Amino acid sequence: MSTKEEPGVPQEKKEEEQINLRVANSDGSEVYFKIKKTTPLKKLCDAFCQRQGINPNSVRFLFEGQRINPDRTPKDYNMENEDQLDCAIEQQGGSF
Amino acid sequence: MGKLVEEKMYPETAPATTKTRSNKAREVIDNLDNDEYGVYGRDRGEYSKPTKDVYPDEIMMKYPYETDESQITIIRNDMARLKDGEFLNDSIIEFYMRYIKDRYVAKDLKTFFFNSFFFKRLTDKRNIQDGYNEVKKWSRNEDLFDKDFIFIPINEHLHWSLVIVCYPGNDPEKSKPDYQPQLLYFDSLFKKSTHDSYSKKIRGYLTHEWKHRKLGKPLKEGSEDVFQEKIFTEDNLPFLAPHVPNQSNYYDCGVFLLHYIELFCKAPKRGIQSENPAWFRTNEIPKKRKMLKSLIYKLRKEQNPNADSEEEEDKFRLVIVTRNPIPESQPDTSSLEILSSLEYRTAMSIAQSNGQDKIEEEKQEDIEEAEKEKKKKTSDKEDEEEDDDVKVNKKRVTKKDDDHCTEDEISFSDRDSPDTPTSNNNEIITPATRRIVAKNTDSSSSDNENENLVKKFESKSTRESMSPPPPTSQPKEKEKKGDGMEIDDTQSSFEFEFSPPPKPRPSPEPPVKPAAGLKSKQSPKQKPAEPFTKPPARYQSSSSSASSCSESSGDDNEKKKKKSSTTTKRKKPEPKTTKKAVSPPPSSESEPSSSSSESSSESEDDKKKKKKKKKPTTTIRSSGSKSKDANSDGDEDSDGDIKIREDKPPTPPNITTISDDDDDNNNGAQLTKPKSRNGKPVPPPSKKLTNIDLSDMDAELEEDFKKKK
Repeated sequence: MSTKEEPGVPQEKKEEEQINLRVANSDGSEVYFKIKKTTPLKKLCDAFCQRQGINPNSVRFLFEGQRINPDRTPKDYNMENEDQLDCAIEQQGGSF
Repeated sequence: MGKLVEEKMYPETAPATTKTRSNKAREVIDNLDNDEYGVYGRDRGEYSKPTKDVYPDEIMMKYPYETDESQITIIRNDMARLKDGEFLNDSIIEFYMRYIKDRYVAKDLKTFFFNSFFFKRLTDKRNIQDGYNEVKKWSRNEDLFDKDFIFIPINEHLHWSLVIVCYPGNDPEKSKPDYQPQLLYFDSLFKKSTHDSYSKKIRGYLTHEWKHRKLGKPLKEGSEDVFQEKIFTEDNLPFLAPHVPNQSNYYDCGVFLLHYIELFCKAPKRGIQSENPAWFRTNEIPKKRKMLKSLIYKLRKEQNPNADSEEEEDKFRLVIVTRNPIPESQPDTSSLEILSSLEYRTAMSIAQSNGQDKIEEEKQEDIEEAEKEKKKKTSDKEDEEEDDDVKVNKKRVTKKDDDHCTEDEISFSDRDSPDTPTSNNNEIITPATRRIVAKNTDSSSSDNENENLVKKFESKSTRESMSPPPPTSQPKEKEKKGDGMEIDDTQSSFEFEFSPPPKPRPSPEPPVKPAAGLKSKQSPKQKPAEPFTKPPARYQSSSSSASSCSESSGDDNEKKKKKSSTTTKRKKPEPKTTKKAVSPPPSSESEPSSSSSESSSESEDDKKKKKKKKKPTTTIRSSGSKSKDANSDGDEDSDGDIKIREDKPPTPPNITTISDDDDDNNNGAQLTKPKSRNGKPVPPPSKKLTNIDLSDMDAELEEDFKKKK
């Protein structure tokens, strides 16, 4: 399945192909997700939005400053254990 | 449901309320009830067109289409940002910036475009060091000091502006005048007050970036000289704010921003020296909006040949409908929640092992115990299957005490404070974005969630007799827990029945079981009415849960499950109850009789007066008297409520519910209003009533909720 194993999680055997990702909300809260490296990130995004009660259309998930494609997997982005995703709320501006 | 009425109503009220800025604005946000100012471009001409339903999250196009790793997705909601008078959002800004970079930037020009979140991340922290750490990786693959221009769009206080860092790696003493390092600030409002803070933060960022990337590293490969420390100051990186064309309205700064970038990229030197306000003519701005819209449609057509072109969609009046989230999202989350419940402690312990959670260490013993239990449970295959999915562990700084809960609680306890969604919303709800919020939260979430609620509640209340209908793919685990929750459901149901408004009766009344039975029988008939009745129950349960500890866990589960929806629910349904002190559906027959006797005698004497007095009397009774009186009052009040409800959902079932009650006849005799209610076709006035009531009650509701908290 996954070629790059993360040895950082010794407690369970499955952990080798799973990583912990941290999603940081703009209000300072963080949610940890344990996700397989080959699971589309969409699941993570949806779960986070559901949990936080956020409209998925109004947030963007960024990894290292780049928007992530929900259809891609952590492996595609070379995400590593304890990497952080940023949940950014939609910005609008017109100037009052 | 209310929206349907709203939409029909609208053409009548339109002339008075709308000030349309554009006749060509196509998309009408019909589920936005309070579009009184016509900001969405409603006008009567639009109503002559056939309507076409579109989903707010429909993907219009992706850019860049080829490499899908860091795509920007433009969805239907974003298209509304391009109408005249609308604020641009980050998606459109970022999309067009990258389009500019791909199209208009000369290939020998080295540029880097930060996205609009960069500056926010950088400045969210108190000091620039922490802020830098947040965005340290954002430029990981780039050497910023090798760039000619770095574009930093800034979104602050609902305003877009732009900073361009010019030649940051150049030495001011050695480079030619045209290649001097400097900060250029483009602001279509030209706010001087922001200059200092922006320039300081960007200089600070560059200083740290230099320190992090350059300091101590060889100037060139193989050379012994290394980069010396460099601190960016006003001297070596001056801040200039060219005099550029400014906006004359309050909504176009995003377009100006894009136009600045585009023109600058097309002719950089001219941009640097553009001290003249005639850089471009401001009438190019509205054209730019149309151009952006056409561009998106064009790219959409390229990516999906089957998609409608702009012209084709212009023939329709696009109505944005909200998708019912139940079939898609609900099952997912439920599985996730359970996963989290099972995996929560292990995950936390893992986090500890990684040194992430120091606070959690105190509770390690508990966790280990829980793990043992868990391993027993997780021996099931289901769990292993679920392991494939995402596992959620919440580490929240504010609440860590949840670990003491039972396992059932844990799954939901980790999603703790229901404040977060509201706070998020609050962040968004600034005066200017109120519309947007209304669109996002009120329209989409509240109604959907209301329906959501209804279905859920129906499913739960009738679970014994019926199989849970709405969540199609609900995981098996859910049912596991369902055992615990069913009890809670019943509790909540009768609590709710007997639960008069929170104000009058502070302490939760002892649930009456026969009533519960009644309720369950009635519930299938009363489906339409239940959505309104249900939320109060939730609240009641919340208050009661505090007193009853262990049993309340299930209630908590319920609450938290619907946490996201509760925020909106509170606003809508509760108000009705709070204001008139309503316990919606009559539970016991005896109560109606008492109320009817009183009311009938009174009503015969003074029909008209009674109407006026109705509210006060009910509240007094409910407050003074207890369950029965409250219920009776509730019946009377419920009629009033039902009026409101009726107006929203013009469905017969409401009437049926009323007719079930003995009070209905009485009320009908007493009051003229009930007739109109029965007659149904009184939408316009009642509609206004509903709006007023809702708005008024919202405030009350929120207060109540705060008090409870």
